[in-house]
Amino acid sequence: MEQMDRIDFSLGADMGLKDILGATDVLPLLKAIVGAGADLAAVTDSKGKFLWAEGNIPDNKELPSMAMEAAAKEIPGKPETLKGVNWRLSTIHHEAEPIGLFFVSAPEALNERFLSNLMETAFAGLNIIIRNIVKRVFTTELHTTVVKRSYEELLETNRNLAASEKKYKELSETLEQKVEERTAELKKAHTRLLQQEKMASIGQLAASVAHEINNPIGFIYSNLNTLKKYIGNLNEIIQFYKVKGQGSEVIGKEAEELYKKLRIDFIKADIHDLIKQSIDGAERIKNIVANLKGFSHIDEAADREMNINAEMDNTISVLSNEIKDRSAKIVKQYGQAAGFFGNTGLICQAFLNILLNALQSGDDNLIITVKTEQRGDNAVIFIADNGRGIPPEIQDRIFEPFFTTRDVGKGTGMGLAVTYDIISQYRGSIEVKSEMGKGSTFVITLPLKK
Amino acid sequence: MIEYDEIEQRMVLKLVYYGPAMSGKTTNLLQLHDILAVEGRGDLMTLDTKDDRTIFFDLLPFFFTAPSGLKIKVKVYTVPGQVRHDATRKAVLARADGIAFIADSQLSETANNSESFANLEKNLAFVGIDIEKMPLVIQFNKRDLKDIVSEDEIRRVWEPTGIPVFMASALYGQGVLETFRRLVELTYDYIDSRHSLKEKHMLSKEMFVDNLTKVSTELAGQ
Repeated sequence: MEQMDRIDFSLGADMGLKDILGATDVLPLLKAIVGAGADLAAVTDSKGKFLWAEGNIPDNKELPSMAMEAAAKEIPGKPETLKGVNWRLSTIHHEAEPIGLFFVSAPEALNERFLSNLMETAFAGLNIIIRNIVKRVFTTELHTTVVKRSYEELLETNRNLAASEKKYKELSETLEQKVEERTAELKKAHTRLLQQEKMASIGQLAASVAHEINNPIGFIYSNLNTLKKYIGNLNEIIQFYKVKGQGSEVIGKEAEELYKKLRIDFIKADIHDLIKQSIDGAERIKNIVANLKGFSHIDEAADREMNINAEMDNTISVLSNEIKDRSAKIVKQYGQAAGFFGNTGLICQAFLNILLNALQSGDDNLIITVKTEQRGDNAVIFIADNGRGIPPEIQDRIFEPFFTTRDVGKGTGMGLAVTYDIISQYRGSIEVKSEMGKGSTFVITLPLKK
Repeated sequence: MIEYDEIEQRMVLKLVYYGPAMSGKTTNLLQLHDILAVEGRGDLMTLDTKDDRTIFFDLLPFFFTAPSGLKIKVKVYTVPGQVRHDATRKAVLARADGIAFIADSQLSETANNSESFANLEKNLAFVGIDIEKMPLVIQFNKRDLKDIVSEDEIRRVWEPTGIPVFMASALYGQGVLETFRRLVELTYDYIDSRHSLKEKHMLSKEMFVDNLTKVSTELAGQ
């Protein structure tokens, strides 16, 4: 409605005589007066200049000076007649304001009384014409004003309706889009939740398995070492008997045969390998169990505030030998990533496992790009390699415990699972984008301390 | 929103009689027409056109010339009080220089009075006029009837606002001129503060008021 205020619809514009009257309004009346016997009938402006006239019109088209002098003295509102002269003059008023003169002159032969009557009748007629026109103009003006106003109001209403319709249309359009976005988000969240639950149950299973294995593997390992020592002792005594028995007639030959039959020489050579391999195996089991322990956070240190960039640097320096061996190149693009609250050891472990994977992702010209930045209340960490990439069909499984693509015995399959678990513990997220032959990018999002 | 043409030496003022339907606005103007001298006063023009949209208002014009030669035209309008004529009311109210609010004293009309006054406030705001600055008088008409709001009550309500209040019985010509005179006085103050009527045009308040409230000699003689 503010626009409406500027529309000027003032009523009752000021009008002059020429605004009110036209030739077709006045001339028939003037003609009739002349036809009735007058010499000249004229309507003039307030200064006596002819506007419309009939009969013997003077060349200067002005009222005679005598008449003007009379008009100047005239009392407004009353038709004036000047006695002894054969002309009559009246002032025309509009809204109380004198706006013109009405003049009639007649030959001396014309009866004075008749002229007065003629003048009176004609002037009354002129005033009726003026009044009717003014009334019509007013009515039209008010009509126009009101209609225009109503029209403007309707236009405004229409504009408002159009605007609100547009708004609702936009809203409904974006609503659809928003519903789609939300649905996608929900789907994603649902998938993530399922994944988390899976991980959690696997984690619990792993923790209990670790606990169960920890004791037997402990005594197996310890017993194997003891066994190794005992076998050394047994070997010694066998060697002793063998050497002493060579000189004895009674059992020498028999012992020699039995020694050969039992392949003691082979056993002596092989038992050492057997024990060594068993100890190696037990050690590997111990490592796996230790990883599983870490996975289920059996031993946790206190959290503290850290700068993620600094911890990334620490992790990279731990890996410096690996990096050197593989002549890989590390590109750092650090942004703002301070103010994360957590266990530095765990965070480094999380980064380390991803970096290790990245280092093993290719053979030549390996470039690993590490990028950090702050997005709102989160730190986002990108670790990208230009290696082989992860086949699409296993991308969903890489965070599962014991999942590995490496040969048996070469990878525990725990690395990314541990990373996933650590990131989840800090209510962060980890995602991977990978393209075969072009490389993989791990994106870690960690919420910063508020 | 006075119309003032300095080159033409012309000034057109607009006074508006506002109020609920049937409160006596036209009666006020009819009485003024009868009371005031014919000199400088035009005829009362009543527009009463009926078609699909009823348009209705009255106009009483005045004209006089200030000593400086400034031609002053004062147009006094009434507005239709009926609720449905709001567009006409807005059109008449636009560029008004003074307002007389004619209220109906009858107890039964109290709600209509306040509704109409609220409408006046709303429409003034709409046409961009500050009601606080606008010359405004209030007339409680129909004092001759029974079942009317008491004068004490009216004064109690309206005196704190500072708006001049008049008791009238327009049908009998009582209070009509007093209301108009005060409206004219307030309008002079309002115009004088903006256009220096006194300094520039040698038009004193007295002259201004006299020109617009000159009582007909026929009546004065009675």
